[in-house]
Amino acid sequence: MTSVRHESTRVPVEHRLLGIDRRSIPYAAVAFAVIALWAWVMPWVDDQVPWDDTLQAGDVVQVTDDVTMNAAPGWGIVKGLLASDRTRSGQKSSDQVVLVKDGVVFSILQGPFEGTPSRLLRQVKRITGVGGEGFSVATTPQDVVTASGLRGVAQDFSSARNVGTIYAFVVDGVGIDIQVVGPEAQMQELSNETAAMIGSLATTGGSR
Amino acid sequence: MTTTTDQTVELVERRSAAIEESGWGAPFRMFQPRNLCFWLYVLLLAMGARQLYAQAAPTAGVFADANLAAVASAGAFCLIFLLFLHYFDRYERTPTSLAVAAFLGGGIGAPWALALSGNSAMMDLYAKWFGQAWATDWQAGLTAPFVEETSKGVVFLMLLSLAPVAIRTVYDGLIVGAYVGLGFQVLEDMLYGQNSAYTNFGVDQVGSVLHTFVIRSLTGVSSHAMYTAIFAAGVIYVVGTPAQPRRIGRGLLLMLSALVVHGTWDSMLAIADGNGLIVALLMVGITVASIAVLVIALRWGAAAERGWLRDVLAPEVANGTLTELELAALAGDRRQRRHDRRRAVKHRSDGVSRRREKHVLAAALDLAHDLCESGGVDSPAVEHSRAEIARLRTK
Repeated sequence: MTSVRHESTRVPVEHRLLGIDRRSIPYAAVAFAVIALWAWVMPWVDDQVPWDDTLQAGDVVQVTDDVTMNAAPGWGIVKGLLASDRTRSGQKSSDQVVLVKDGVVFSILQGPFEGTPSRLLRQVKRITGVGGEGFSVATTPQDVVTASGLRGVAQDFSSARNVGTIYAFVVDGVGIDIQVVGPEAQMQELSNETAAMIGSLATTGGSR
Repeated sequence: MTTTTDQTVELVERRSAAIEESGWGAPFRMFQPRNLCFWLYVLLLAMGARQLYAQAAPTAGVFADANLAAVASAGAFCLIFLLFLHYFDRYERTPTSLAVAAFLGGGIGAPWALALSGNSAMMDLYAKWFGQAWATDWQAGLTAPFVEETSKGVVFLMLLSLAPVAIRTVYDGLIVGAYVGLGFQVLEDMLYGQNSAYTNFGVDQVGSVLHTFVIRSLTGVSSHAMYTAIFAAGVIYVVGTPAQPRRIGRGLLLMLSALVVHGTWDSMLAIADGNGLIVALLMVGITVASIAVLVIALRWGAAAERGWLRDVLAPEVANGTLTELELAALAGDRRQRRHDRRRAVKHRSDGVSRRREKHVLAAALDLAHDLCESGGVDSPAVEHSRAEIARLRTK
């Protein structure tokens, strides 16, 4: 029994291989395989598989359970549900929508929020760090009104590599934060499409 | 006289054999540079700590309230669960350093170094291959069980290599696995709490964190600690140890059970097709099923544990420290033990109160732990435990 309890302090000679405890090799091999699989291999596989879920003309993005947005064709949907999607769980919208095109990311975050769009904008800048070191922010937020009458605010910002705009709306106790970010040239090229998508925000019950 | 001496010698030999076979009382030393798993464990912890810092540091100031509330609420959950584990860890005390290593590996290594990247990649792939609606329904249930159970499982596997004597029995698997799962659960709860504060745009951070905490705690019986306890018990059966001969079928069954329970829990809404009543029934059913699997694993492991405890304490009956009834009350099977415990209390020595007799039984377990730590010899701790039992009887 004594020998067993001393096993952990000195590796018996017959179990040594180049100074390593040979008995640890099978355990380490399995552990390393799992570590490699989840830390490196699967993310690499994920990177190799392209997103090919491209939005078509007429597709409508479900921003919140009650708010939709007409998608511009050609944008890829990385995350989020369309109004035409039917899930078994009954979930209509996701917390986050992410659309991408030509290096521009159009992301929407929604969640409970009681307050004005201006306050939501301030909160968004606070939690995302926009306005902090490395960002240049336009001095005054601009009012935004969608075609259906939803009122919000917008503020431009830029960093060393990208430019972007934060939009903030509050609809029936739900805050909607939209951030459009990308390289300046692509942002300009796609500005009509992003403006059209923002302008199409509407409640499913109709205009407001 | 000779017969009695022979019997005593035999009992002491059986005690030594039980301590050797079970690995009870064996110390654990984390620093083992010649063991490859030590370096992998360090790597995993470093990767996890780096990721945790990268994620938490930039927003630490903004989410200070959320982080504080998450630490407090997750800490409370952790404390309650630790008491629960301590109660179940009755046959043997898990070395503190081993429990800490399991908790840190499960809390920092598994979620931040592995689960975060693995889950994210798998969920992206599901959305790419099967579309957003399908992914919304099934991605959690078809990702988390595989990624998270194997991530926690490798932490346990590395500890099994680092502590081949301290982790030998199915109970060791259950307890050390539970510590790994508890670490994962606590850190995951903190992450969910912060996510909740984020989706509330940083407003009412404490309220949103506590809301998430209450929901996860109320539904938390079927939690990571339980999944990993079951999974790790399965690993013990699959790997095999000197105390637990390899039983691959039984081990795979336990590991599969952990995956199925976890996956079903995460897919509840989709399975129920959005029906609230079915969701409620599923929650109850999965909780009951997971407890049932845990109880089965405990029962499979308990017979050996009771046998070792009996062998460790049997010489104490021979030397008059304990009575036969008390030994039966401690080392009988669960139902019989309850009966014997009542009998032991009922037939206590004259002048010893019921309460004191229960204390004697608790002190006898302390004596067993001290005997295991001393390797069965009469150390000062063993002598102290015997003196305590004598004091309790005479007081």
